[in-house]
Formats: sequence, C-alpha cells, structure tokens
Amino acid sequence: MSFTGLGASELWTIFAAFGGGMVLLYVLKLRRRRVEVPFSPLWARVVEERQSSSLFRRLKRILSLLVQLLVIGLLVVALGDPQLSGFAGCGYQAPEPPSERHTLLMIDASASMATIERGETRLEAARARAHAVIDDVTDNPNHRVMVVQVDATTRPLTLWSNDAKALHAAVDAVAPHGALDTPTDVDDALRLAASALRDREGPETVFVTDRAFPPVSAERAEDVHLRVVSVGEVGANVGIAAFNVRPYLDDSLTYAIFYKVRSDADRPLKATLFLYANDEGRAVDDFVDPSRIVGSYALELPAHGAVDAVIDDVKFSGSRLAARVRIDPNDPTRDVFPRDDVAFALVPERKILKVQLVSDGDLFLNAALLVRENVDLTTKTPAEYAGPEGFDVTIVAGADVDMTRPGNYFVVDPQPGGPFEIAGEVEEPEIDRVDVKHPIARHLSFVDTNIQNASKVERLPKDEVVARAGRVPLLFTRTLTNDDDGSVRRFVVLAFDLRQSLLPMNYAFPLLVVNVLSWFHQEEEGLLQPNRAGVELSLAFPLAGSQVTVDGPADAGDIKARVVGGRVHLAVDRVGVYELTTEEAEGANFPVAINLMDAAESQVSPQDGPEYPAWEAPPPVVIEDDPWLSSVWRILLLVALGLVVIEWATYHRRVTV
Amino acid sequence: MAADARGAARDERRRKGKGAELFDEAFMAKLEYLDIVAKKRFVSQQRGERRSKRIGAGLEFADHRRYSPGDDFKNIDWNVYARMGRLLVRLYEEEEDLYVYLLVDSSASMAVGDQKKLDYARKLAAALAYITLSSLDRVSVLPFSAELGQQLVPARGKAQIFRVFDFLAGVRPGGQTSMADAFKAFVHQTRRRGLAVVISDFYAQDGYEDGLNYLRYNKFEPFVIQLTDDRELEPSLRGDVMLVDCETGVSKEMTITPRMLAKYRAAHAEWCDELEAFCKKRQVSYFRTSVQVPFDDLMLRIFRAGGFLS
Repeated sequence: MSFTGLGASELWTIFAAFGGGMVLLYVLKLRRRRVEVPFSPLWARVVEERQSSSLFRRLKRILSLLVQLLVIGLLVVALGDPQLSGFAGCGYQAPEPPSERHTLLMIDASASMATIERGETRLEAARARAHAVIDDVTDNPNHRVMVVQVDATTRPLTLWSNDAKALHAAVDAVAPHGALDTPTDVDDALRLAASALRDREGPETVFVTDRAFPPVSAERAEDVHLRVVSVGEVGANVGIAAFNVRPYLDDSLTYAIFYKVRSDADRPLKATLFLYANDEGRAVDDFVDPSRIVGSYALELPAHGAVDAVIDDVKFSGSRLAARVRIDPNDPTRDVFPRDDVAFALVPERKILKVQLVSDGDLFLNAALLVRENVDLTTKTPAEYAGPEGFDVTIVAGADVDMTRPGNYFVVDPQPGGPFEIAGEVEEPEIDRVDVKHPIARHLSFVDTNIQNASKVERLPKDEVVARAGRVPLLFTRTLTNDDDGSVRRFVVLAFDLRQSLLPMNYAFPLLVVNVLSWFHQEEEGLLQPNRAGVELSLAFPLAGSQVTVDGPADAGDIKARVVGGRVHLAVDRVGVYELTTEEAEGANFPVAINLMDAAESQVSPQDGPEYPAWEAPPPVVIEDDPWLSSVWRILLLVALGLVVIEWATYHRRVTV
Repeated sequence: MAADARGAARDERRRKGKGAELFDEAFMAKLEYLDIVAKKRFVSQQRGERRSKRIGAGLEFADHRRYSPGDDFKNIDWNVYARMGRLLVRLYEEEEDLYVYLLVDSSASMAVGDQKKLDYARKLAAALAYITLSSLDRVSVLPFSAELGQQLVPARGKAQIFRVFDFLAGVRPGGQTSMADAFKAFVHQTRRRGLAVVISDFYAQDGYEDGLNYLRYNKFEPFVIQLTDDRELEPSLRGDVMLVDCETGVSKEMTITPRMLAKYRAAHAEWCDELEAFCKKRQVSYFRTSVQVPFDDLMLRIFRAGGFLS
C-alpha cells in the first residue's frame, strides 16, 4: 500500500493528536446530568436487575472508544489517499490523462488598448477574448495557464494554474482602471514568454492584442509559439506626436512651441490644436477648460500624414502647458483613440542675467543691454572693475582689465596686454566667412558692417571662429581651463571697436548681444524635454534630500521614486504632470511632464506587417468522472461514516454526550 | 343556593385573594355540578341509608320495616297494621354527623416538577369537602408527609368551604412521606371515627401498608385515591444521568436506555397493582387516576362506583 496524499509520518501525527484527544475525553469523568425523581426505590428495582450487566456496560463504553478510534483511524488513512496494489479502484482502470499543455496568456494593456470601438475599449474586448481562451482550455486538467499583463513592463498575474476561477479573476485584474498610457514592450514580453515556457510540455503564447507594437520576427515568434488573438478594427486617429516649448531669451512672456500632429485617417482632416496653461495642472482635466486656453491653431491634416510647425508668438504666464488636438466638430470622422490627443510641456524657469559692462562709456552696448528685460546691468569704468565674481557675464569694451580669474567674458576691442596676443591691426576688414551653425551666429547677417579697423588676434587651436575676414578672426570664442584648479574662463571676442564700424547700426547687433549672452548662459540646457510614460526615467534632480514624494494625476496611483547620485529614477504609467518634492526642499518642487507620444501606439488601425498565427482552441477534453468507489479513500470515508451512524444509533451517548 | 355560594365564593376570593388561581370560577362551577350529580345519585338510592344518617332514636320519621322479634313494640305502626294487617316498625333518622377526614399527601414527591400532583390533590380534596359539607357532614383536612401537619378542624356547613379553600391553598409541599408515622399520629389524636380519604401518590419510603392498616385497625374507613403523573411514567430521560430522590436526596448514577425505561414502566405498573391488590384484599375503596385526567371525571367515577358518602 502506498500513500499519494499525506505522508505516513504526517498521518501518524494526525492520528496521535486526534486519537489522544479522544482517549483523553473518555478518561475524563463524565459530569452527569442531575435529574430529580419522585421515588427512587422504583429505579432501584430496575437497577438491581442491571447490576449484573455492569461489566457489559463498561465493555460497551470501551467498545465505543474503540469504535471512535477506528473512525479516526479510517479518516486519517483516507487523508493519505492510499493506493492498494491489486485493488486498483475496485477494478476500475482510469483512462490515460490528457496531455499536458502550457499556455502563456498575454493581454495587451498598453495605451492603444484604450481605443474605443463599438462602445467598449479594446482592453474590455481583450478581456472577453481572454476569458474565452481560459474557458476553452481549462476543461483539460493538465492544461495550465499563466496570465500576463503586457504594457511597457511585463507583469505575470498568476503562476501556472488550471484554476479557472483564479485565472478569470486575474484577467479581470488586468489594468483594472483601464489601459495604461504606455507603449507595448513586446521584446520584454517575448523574453518572459521564452523564459516561462522553457522546458514546458505543449508550450504556446497566446497574445490578445491590437498589434500596435513593432513587428516581431517570424523566428522569434516561433520560438515562443506565438499565437495572436486580435482585437481592434480600422479607425481614424489623430494624435500629437511631438510637443515642445521654449521661451525667447529677450521676451520672458513669449514662447516658441514646436508641435507635430499626425493623422492615420484615410482622408484629409481639419482639426484644431488648443493650448492650455495651468501652473497647478497635473491631469488633462486640470488643463482642458475654456478659461485656460492660451491659443488655438487650425490644422489641415493630410491622410496618413503629419503636420509640424513652430508657433513663436504664444504669450502666457506660467510654467505648464498642455496641447490638445480635436477634429473639426463638423467632420464626421471620429477619433477612436483619444489618449494621444493631449500632450504636456513644461516651460523652463526664466533667469535674470547679471551683467557688468566695463568700459569708458560704450553707449551702444549700454543701450543694447538696457532694453533686455532679463538682464540686470551694472556699468563700471576700468578703474572700478573689481573682478568677474558675482556676475554671469562681464563685458569688457576697449579696456585693459584683469581677466585671469574664472568667469564669462565678452571682450569687445581687446587691448594689448590682456589675455589675447594681438599681432597687429587689419584695415577695413570684410567679413567673408560666417559659421552659421554656431549659436552666436543664429539669425545674424554680417553685411554692411563697414569695419574701419580691427585687431589681429592670434588664434589658438581650440578657438571657435564665428566670423572672420580672410584668416583674421573677428568674432570667436575661447575656453581656457586652469590645469591647477580646473577653473574655466570663457571668452567671446569681438576684435574691433564698435564705434569704428556700422555694426551697432545694424539690426544684427542686438541679436548678437543676445546670442552671446545665450551662449554663456547655455540656455538650451534649460529646455525641459517631455518624458514618455512607461519608460524608466533618470532625471537630474535639483532638490536636496533623498526621500522623494511624487504627486501626479489622480489615476496615477502611488508612484515610487528614488534618488541616486543626484538623479531621480521613476517610472509612471499615466500621462500628466508630476511634482517631485522632498522634505528638505522647503516647498520647492521638481515638475516632470509625461506624454504618450508613441508612434506605434497611436497607429491604432491594424498594420500591414507580419501575419502572426491565429490562436485556435484545442479540441475539447471530455473527462468522465471516476466511479465514486474507485478511490480507496472514499471507501474508507464511507466505512467511517457508517460506523459513526451505527454507533450513534445504538449507543445512548447521542443524547447526553 | 348554588348561585349564592358561587357569588359568595367570588367575594371571598376578592377579599382574600389566596388560592384564587387554584379555586377559580371554573372550579366553583364544577363543584356545583358535582354537588347536583351527587344529590341526584343519593336521592335515587335508598333513603335513610346514607352513612351519615343513622337509623335510630331520632325524632324525624324515616321509614318502615318489617317487624322482627325483639323490636320495641312502641315503634310498631298500629295504623298501618289496622289498614293493611301487617306489622311494620317505624324507623327514625338518627341525626349523627359523619366525619370525613381528607388526608392530603404534602410530601416533596407531590411537588416534583410543576407541583401538578399537589394541585390536583388540593382540587380533589376541595371537591370532596364541598360534597361533604353540602351533605351537612363534617369535614376535616389533614396534610401529611413524614408527620401529620396542622389540620383543619372538623367543619360543618356549606359556608365552611372557604375555610377549606384557604387551608388547602396554604398547604406547602415538603418532607418525606411516612404514612405509618403520620396515620399513627392521626388515629391517636382523632376521637371521632369516620371516613379517612387518603389522597397521595403513595411514594412512601417505608411503604403504605402500615399506615393504611393503622386506619383500619382503629375503626376508620380508609378511602384510597392514588395520584399518578403520566410524565413520571414516561420520563424523557436518556443517557448518563444522576438520579436524585426528591425526598431523601439519595442519588444514583445511571445510564438510561429505552430498555431500562420500559422496565421502569413495568416496575411502576407492578407497584401500582400491588397497592390496588392490597386495598381490594382489605375491602378498602381504591381509585387510581392520572393528574392529566380532569378531577371532575374522577369525582364522577367515584360517585358511580359508590362508597363515598353512600
């Protein structure tokens, strides 16, 4: 006899525990119920007759104990599910069990699954398909299923199981609050599938998806026995593919906005791009309000194409923008995927530059600088100059001052004896070459400058020449690093006196000043790029402290963020603006904008590409129930039950004990 | 008369409020019914042969009988002899009261459970007392257990029924049953002989034989009414129990089985038969009834059988 249930040691332990308890109960003296009778001599007559049978009574009591112990023994042995050789289930030969199979059921919960079709989202349709798959396979007790949610991350929701109830519950638990705002990381999902199905019998991967993900090679699909249950139909979608904002340096209220709006409709569409501003906004609803509109722009969207443009005259106050594209209400085309209609952007904080002008009175520079709202200008004579400390930029015009200390210097008309070696002068130089890609040359045109005289400054190998006359650099940058302490001096050198040229009269002059200041300020670094949902973000974290609290849109859930080495790491599933803060930040926060902006997810219509094999339900497995008495444990249970019934019916204990 | 008695009873109960639940309106109505039945039955029998009416030297003519040698000549009705030529002797009622002693068992066994046996005995005693008083005889009530309790002195007249009610209502159960001791005391302290009605369950530890014999040997006429309770015959006992005698406190651990219950019923029936046989053998009137039987049914049975006030 062998046990396929509990082991022998466990059975002995259980029997000892329950049997000991039963014996203890029998050993303990029974507290009899007191019954008052009117005339005990009558009972005495009866008792006298029974005295002779007291031995039998004691025996009966012991017999009852033995019966109870026997019942416990039978039940304990039944727990072991004994198998008797030669007693194969009362002669019953069980049929061969159905073959083992393993199905990895992956359900796409990425952003595109939020597409609404026939009144329900693709995710809801995918859940229904997944339920059907489970119903089709779980009639085979050897067919095990693992439910996996796939979006930017791959999340197994169950172990291998044949429990239909648990599997259905897991399917219902896939993105319970709706599809996420993340792309589909199909590579990660297939890696998990390969790992989970390795060395499994009858492996297959069933992916319930709208196929809005990069194509998977046939070899890789075959490796995991990929079968696709498709959801989704052809539909028109309009979405924002790019959205960036940057301010103009010379106008703190004016921003340049870059956007790209794409359409996969079959015909051209008219649409409108709305811009909203809200300094406190986090979610779409916080922005989309008529009172918060700062601009609207009509778009002509080509069929299966995109339009992009820069809007450079948007004025608003605040630091958070949201863009939303809407198809013209008069157009019958319906946008089936609204998730990518919205994008968020953060406007970098404007900075006031502290600039000192050291000259004997250069009115041109003075005038150009005074009109800048973002410049805090201090004018000094060479005698008053005390050094670059405390200023973002020091402009030295025609003066010979100490420029050996670290700082940013804009040197106009360099003088001999300074940090530049002047080899002579050039008469009436003409600018013939301009590096138009250099930031300082942005939007500039050096025509009609009519320079009378310029210094001939010796170039160094690492100098970047922006404008030159022949071989003579007239406008160039130089960066010098002190090898001892690592300090840096940066120079922009204009090698002629402004008063001996027509450059100050040229429209390019104020732009030149702005470009130089921007070059020193390196403002491009301040442009906050939007981030994508579902991606592990690693951002430079400007706040003090390491315990980060993240506040985002209401449906974002609890977001964990960690600061390591001055960078904050986090991943979010929902688009919106998130505020990161720490206790040490004293109220300051670090905003992060999260957008979808995934071309594959926005491509909600079924794509032309590799055709993946469709999933087919296995033939149904009909399992006949074993005859009830085919199991020894059932027979034992029946015998125990019979003993209990007989003992109960024949012994008085059923009344008082 | 009956209506007056009922009204008086109502007033009395209002006034005293004692025993009102036991002897209520329905009880009084039954008593009046039994009184009527009893009178009809007595009238239908030979007049002048009621135990309470002795034929003797009274003044009131009662009947005639044939002359027998030795009869006093002065009692010969010469008018009848002149008219019919037969010698008949005049008989006169002797106005001698009959004493009826109601010996009510008040031991603890009568109050086991809900005191139904004692209540039944009280009602039965009250009914017998009412009939007795209605017949102008004297009645006395004596509760007993191991000894004779305080007795209701012999009373006469129907109006005394309320004293009987009050007395019965004041009877408290308790003590062991010892008929020998109780009846021995009774015969010694009672000068006038009469009918001794013993109402009891006869659950006496020392037996009932000596007690009844005491009555017989001292010229009392015993009249035995044995009360049983069906619930005692069919106890709802099963399993391991400790039986405690309500009078002696003696306990006994037992395991009750249906078979044992059957034996108990047999023993009880045998014990009752022994009592009945004892009474019959000694020509003692014996009635056995269950307290589940209405007491008026028992009374009618007693009347039909005769032996009480007849």
